[in-house]
Amino acid sequence: MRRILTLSLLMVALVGLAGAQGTVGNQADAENEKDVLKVERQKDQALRNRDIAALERIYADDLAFVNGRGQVITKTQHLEEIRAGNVKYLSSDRSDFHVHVYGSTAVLTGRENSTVEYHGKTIASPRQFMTVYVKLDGQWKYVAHQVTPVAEK
Amino acid sequence: MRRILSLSLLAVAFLGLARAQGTARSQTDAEIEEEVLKVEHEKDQAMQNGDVATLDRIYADKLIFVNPRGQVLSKAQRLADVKPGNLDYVNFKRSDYTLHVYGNTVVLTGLSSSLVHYHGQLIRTPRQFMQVYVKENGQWRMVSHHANFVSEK
Repeated sequence: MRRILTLSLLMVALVGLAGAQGTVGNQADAENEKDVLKVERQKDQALRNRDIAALERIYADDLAFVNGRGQVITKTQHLEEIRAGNVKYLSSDRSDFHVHVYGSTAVLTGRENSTVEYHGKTIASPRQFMTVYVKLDGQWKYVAHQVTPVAEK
Repeated sequence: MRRILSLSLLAVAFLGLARAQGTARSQTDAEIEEEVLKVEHEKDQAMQNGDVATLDRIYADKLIFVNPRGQVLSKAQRLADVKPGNLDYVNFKRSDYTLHVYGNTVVLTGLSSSLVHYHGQLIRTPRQFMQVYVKENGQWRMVSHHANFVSEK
């Protein structure tokens, strides 16, 4: 009986130690990618519909946002631009889309070919973008975004 | 003797389970910022010196590097790009650093006013950049870099 108890405890000890080695990133990267893409689609829909409430929920409060002119704007400034109708997403078209997952961080990159109206000016030229999501308190939050016009060759 | 062995194994079992819950000491945001800035400065020095070995260590293998022309470079392409003759710094100036810390992820933004020769062309225009660092196996790695020319106002 004592031998069985000793062996059982030994097994628990070994399982516990083995578990401690693999506890980084409890959710598989594939599952995280799927969850992030769902939030990304919600965000894109919210931008097209100028749904400030949804964007308020998805954007992190300390969002780092750099527009195509190299200007750094805050979450409040970006939402105000959308609310005021200074930014309108007229179509949605992306290519070369990649998602890199690092545990509870996802970096999305791609080519934005959509047409945007920015302060009355129509922008249709391609832009290379990077978006960063981080899982905070169980929710994927959009923490950073930068977009660069692609220079003509 | 058997009782001592049983108690010892029980202790090891609980230790394994406790580690599995993630009881490692968490760092403060200030400590994390300090660590990342140290790696960032090492990286900056390596860029100026064409030190590919150091950059190879700091850049993640799946690095996504977007230059101000909107061109996407892989790690291998970026390492080839920093060799003397391709990228030569006349001076090195960076400012307006902001770090956003999310546990094992840091988003770093800043302004580069460095004067640099890039493939024979002198670049004077300031660039707004965003970098993402992720802590992997105890080391901070740069997983992405994105830069824009700052438009004149």
